[in-house]
Amino acid sequence: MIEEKKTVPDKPASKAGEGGENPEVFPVNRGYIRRKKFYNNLAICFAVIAFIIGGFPVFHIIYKAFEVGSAYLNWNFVSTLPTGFPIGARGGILNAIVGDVYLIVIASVLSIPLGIGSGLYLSLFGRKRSNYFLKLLNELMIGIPSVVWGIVGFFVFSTATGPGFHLGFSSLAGGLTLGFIMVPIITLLTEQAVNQIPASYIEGALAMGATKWQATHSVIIKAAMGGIFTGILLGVMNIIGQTAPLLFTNYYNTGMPTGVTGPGGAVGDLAMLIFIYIHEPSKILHYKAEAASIVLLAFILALDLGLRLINYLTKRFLL
Amino acid sequence: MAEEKKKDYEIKVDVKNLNFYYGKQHLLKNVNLFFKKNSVCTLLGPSGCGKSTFLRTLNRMNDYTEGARLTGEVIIDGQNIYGKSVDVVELRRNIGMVFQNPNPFPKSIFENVAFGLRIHGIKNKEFIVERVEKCLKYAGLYDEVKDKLAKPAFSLSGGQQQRLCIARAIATNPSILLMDEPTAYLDPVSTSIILDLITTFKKYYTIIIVSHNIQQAGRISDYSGFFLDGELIEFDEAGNFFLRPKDKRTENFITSRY
Amino acid sequence: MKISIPILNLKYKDDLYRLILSLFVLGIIAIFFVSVLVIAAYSYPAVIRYGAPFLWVKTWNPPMEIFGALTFIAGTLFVTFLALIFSVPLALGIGVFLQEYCPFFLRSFLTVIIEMLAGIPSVVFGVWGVLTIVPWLRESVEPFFNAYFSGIPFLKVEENIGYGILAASIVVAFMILPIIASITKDSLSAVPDLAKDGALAMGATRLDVIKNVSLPYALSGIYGGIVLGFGRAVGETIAVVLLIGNQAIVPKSLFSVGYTISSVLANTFTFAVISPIYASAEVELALILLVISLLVNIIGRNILNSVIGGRLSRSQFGGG
Repeated sequence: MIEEKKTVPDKPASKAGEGGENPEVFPVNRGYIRRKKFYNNLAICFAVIAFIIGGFPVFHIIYKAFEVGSAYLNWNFVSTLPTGFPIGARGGILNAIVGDVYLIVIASVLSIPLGIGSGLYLSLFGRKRSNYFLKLLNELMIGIPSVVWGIVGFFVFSTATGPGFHLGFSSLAGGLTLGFIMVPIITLLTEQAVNQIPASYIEGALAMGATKWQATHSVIIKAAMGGIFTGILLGVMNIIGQTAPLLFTNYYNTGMPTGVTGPGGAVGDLAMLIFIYIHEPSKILHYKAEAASIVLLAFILALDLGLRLINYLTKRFLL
Repeated sequence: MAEEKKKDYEIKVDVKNLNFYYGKQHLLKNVNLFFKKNSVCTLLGPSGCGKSTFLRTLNRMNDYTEGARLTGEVIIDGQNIYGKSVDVVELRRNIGMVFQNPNPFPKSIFENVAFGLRIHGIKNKEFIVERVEKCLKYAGLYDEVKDKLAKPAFSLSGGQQQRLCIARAIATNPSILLMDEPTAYLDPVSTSIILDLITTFKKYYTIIIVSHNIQQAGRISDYSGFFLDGELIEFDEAGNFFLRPKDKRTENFITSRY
Repeated sequence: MKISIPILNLKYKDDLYRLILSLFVLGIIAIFFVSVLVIAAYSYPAVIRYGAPFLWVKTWNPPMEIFGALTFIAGTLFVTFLALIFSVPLALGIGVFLQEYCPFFLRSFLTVIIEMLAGIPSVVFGVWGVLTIVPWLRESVEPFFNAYFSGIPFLKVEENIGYGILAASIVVAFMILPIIASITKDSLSAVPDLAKDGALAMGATRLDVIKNVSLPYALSGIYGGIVLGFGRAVGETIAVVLLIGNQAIVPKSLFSVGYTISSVLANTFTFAVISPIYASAEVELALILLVISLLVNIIGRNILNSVIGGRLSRSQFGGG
């Protein structure tokens, strides 16, 4: 395999330097080089195949949902309540869309102030040590499985016995539980957004004698707006797909809610509707579950586009 | 430069009409120059003038830079390295490169130097040991590290790390050495050791150095070039370049720092 | 960032601001500790009554009040590890592809696809599994294995229904894929260019660089990503409920049905609350999940903070 690369025979040296080529020979192993290039190409192939397999579900899920569900997708579907037997065989998913609005609003009311406030605290007043623990706490909350949140929500909000708020299976109980899931996301992204503001911005304001409160008003909120909105949208994107926490706190309502607590307080929910429909032994409900998936995915896609727009605008105009 | 005849057998690297674009920026504007065999050539210029970019075009390191585009020719040993049939692996074996910051691999001192041999398929242990020792000796590092070859390379001092990188670069027996401000972050003693190395190295290698330190460049170079805003303003023998610059801009650059 | 402005009034204002913000922080701390407390308190009766054997007793019999979680723990671990086995090589390939091999003009577009995978809700994955993966397993994969590998116990097809451990693992693998892939990509992009250049300049191929420079640098970050992916897989609920078959048996083969901790909670918790000890046993299952997730996240986050500075990538917040 090893062949020797001939050195160039001595030629007259330039006047710049004495000597010539390095007299040593380097045993060039062409076979090995060829093989290593082949392995490199093999690695490229593997990486591309991995990517194709990984990206495949995205397209196939959307394709499948459209193939099965698009027949049911029309204005009626999103604007009427489910009827028929089994319930949902006729009519649409209005209950779930309205319910999602309830849940998002309730979760946001809890989590947006809490998340932004804590994020500001972390970045403005936090000490190194306490920040480490508070950030870890938030990261741990992100890691807690959603079904565990459901059980927590049940005992804190829904249960009729023992300590707790006794809200029953209701949108308030479900929304607040979802709010718990949203809080750490907003906190961490607010903190990240404020920390990304160039130090000179904030120090400029502080050096002029502004308090941190005034600096927050005049500089920080404006400069961190993009990051904070990213956090909120990511939070909404996350909770809108949640099913497990709602199983024990809100469950499902085929009609419109009559309140936010107690009997009649439960709402429909897209993710829950899909979950329930796919469990039913009825083909038509399976198709409708796919149609509802399209609506849910469209919702998420819209949020996603919003996120990217914010990202773009932030990069373009603020920083 | 104009008076000098280009003699083919003396030319190691010949750059013709080289233009380099990065996105919309035009970083190198129609650069023409050649490097003679076994000479030390320094490229000077203020930071951001394109001299490092130029250096990286000589061993095609810009291949992996996002948005990079290049026109023109770089002819090394009679072959255009941007031609179709060029083997980049062999090209880079033939061109050693030393960077601004010492950048040893996260491996032992021995393995750092042996790396170049291993990736070119050399498995003969005796050859590798012999070669590593020899390169460390060339780089003037062997006496300092011979007892701790198995230690991680990061345990060395900055100057030693840079000499390790030089040893690493010559391990594959290149004929050209590219150095991108090799002494920028080193203390004066290490700098002086490395400058001495460079002058002895030209016996075997064609050395092209990017620098912004005019004194150092004057001390070691046979040829010098001055870059400004991507243009090669002047390229000449070191004596002429430093004492009798033809271009006003070169003169300003040299005198303002002396 | 300490400011020393000698006007009391200004300092006072900031103290008030700080106080108000710290109330919000207390809110979050309260949420966390109340949650942990709730799980701990409600599982306490079962922990006392059943002790450690809860973890290795096989019987789960609510009417007789005999509770042992082995079946569910086994199912959870089975699904989780199988998902990791599918997911880790793919995720490494994707991370390496996006960071090292992908043409520049495609990189951001292709990254979006992986982020979209992370955004798909669990229930939609579950529906996709029911309508795509399950029929595929039932009609193609299981008959094939039945015909050629029926002698190997681990690959034995007991009931040719498509639902089971394998279907759940495949879908969970896709769900944790974006987490591991995006963290792999971030860790690789944190490798200093200078180190890679050093190797490239010597004639290394991209593969040489990845093997010798990038991966050694990025390895701990990748471990962190795998740990977080493990955490996600353990807690994954809705997709698993739809796919695993929901039968309380310890899975013996790739194709058997089973039950995981999270899916048994999703299916039975609402009935369980009728009997205090049954509910308590179920909460103890949740306690197991909680403890695993906390441990795994403490380990994973600490690794990541030291490698990529705790930067949060979008793919880490998947739809639940």
